[in-house]
Amino acid sequence: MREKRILLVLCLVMLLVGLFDIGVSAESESEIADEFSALSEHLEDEERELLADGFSSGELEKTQDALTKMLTPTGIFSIVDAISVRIIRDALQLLATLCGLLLLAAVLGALKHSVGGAALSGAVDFMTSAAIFAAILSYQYRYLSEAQEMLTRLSSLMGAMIPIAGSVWAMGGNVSTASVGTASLYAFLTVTQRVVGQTVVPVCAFCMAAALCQSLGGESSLRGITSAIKKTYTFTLGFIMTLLLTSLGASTTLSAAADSMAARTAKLVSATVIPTVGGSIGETLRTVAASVSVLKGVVGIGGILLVALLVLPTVLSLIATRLVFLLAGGLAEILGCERESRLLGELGGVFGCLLAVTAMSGVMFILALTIFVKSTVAIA
Amino acid sequence: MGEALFRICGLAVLCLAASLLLARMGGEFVGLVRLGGSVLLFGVLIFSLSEMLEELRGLFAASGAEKYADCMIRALGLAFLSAICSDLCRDTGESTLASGIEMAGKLAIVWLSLPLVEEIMETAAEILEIGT
Repeated sequence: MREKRILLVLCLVMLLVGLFDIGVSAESESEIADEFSALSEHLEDEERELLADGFSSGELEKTQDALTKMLTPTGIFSIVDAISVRIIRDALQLLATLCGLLLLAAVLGALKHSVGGAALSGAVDFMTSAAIFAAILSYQYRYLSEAQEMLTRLSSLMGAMIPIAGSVWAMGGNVSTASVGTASLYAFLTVTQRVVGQTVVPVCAFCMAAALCQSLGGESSLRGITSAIKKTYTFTLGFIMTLLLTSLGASTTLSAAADSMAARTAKLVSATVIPTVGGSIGETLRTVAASVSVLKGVVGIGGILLVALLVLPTVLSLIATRLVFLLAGGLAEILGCERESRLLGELGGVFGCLLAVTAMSGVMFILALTIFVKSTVAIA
Repeated sequence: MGEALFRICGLAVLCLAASLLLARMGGEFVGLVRLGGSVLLFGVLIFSLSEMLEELRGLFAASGAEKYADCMIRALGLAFLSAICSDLCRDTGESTLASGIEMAGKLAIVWLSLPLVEEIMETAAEILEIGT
């Protein structure tokens, strides 16, 4: 009789486990910590040097300590300071070059009136504009290629990060959240790679070409067209990103709630049906949940930090360059170089568009990782 | 440069006086006096400007725009040379020659700007390669 009861209980437990399975992943914390430590390889050497010691050690405690050290106000300011020094130096170099060229253009503009003849004055004007644009275009190429490279590395970083996030979700019993969340994150990744990565350079190149035509041609104004293109482009990207983020937030919230309910039901049934040890299963799961929470925090916050380190140098660089162009445009207007002032203003606008797109990509991934960090552990 | 200005003004006044006197006496050598005076005058000017141009080159070398500043200054020099020669031709009544000189000057400036246009095209091609 007693054996029959034990057998019945075992069959019932197996049936309940099959119906309400708590999908806890078998992947160990150390494996996830190892995979996480490899993410820092997606950073440049200069950016990797900004990581505290122990971040890429592959051990959870050391990574957590490194994160704690880096996220203090001193740590954050030292990172920003290290990035800013190089950027400010480059921006000042560009400003010096532009100021020199503008002063020379102003002198030539004043002297050309004594040259006599509209034809020769026009040729000197063309020469001045071509020289200034050639000087500026080399910098434009550098920043465009930096932005494109940053988007590529961001995509590869997130491509490596998403499976880790999925594993951590699954470890905590959030199985459906893992599938829904990783699908949404892959959608983000696809949009960044296909839509942003392949359109930002052609759009900026078109706007730069329009600015050149306007500067060298002089008569036609393409400013309205380029302004409309930039605004439409940034609005469309922002709308797509907002939709994806809303979808990620809503779907993970709903699936986390469903996972949590399933886990609680399974815990309740096991505590009620299984004699003696049924109650301790809940305690064990709470302990697992606590360690998963720590792991999720380290992976999530660490991932946010890596994305920030990847995006911040490019964003700050674009901000500084845009400021330089706006300053130079103002100086050109003061010196009476109307054509050069319009050119610099237009090119500053192109940098504004590029800045908006790169910052948007970084912020969207940071918000997505924040949603990952804030999602509840089902087995808690 | 201040001293050079005195010399230039003095030379200009001398040439003017000489051409006025010659115009009263006969007028045969007026054109030659004008031509000689202009050549001397601009020779002194160019010689005086050489120091200033070297200093400008040094300033632009520090800012990293030496190559472009060089092109711009040469273009201005070509424009001035063309303008002076065409004005001299017009003063002597040779307007066709003057037009020819202006055309040559314009073409020389455009020729000087061709390397810049080539650089712009190459950079534009590199930018388009980024996107593909």
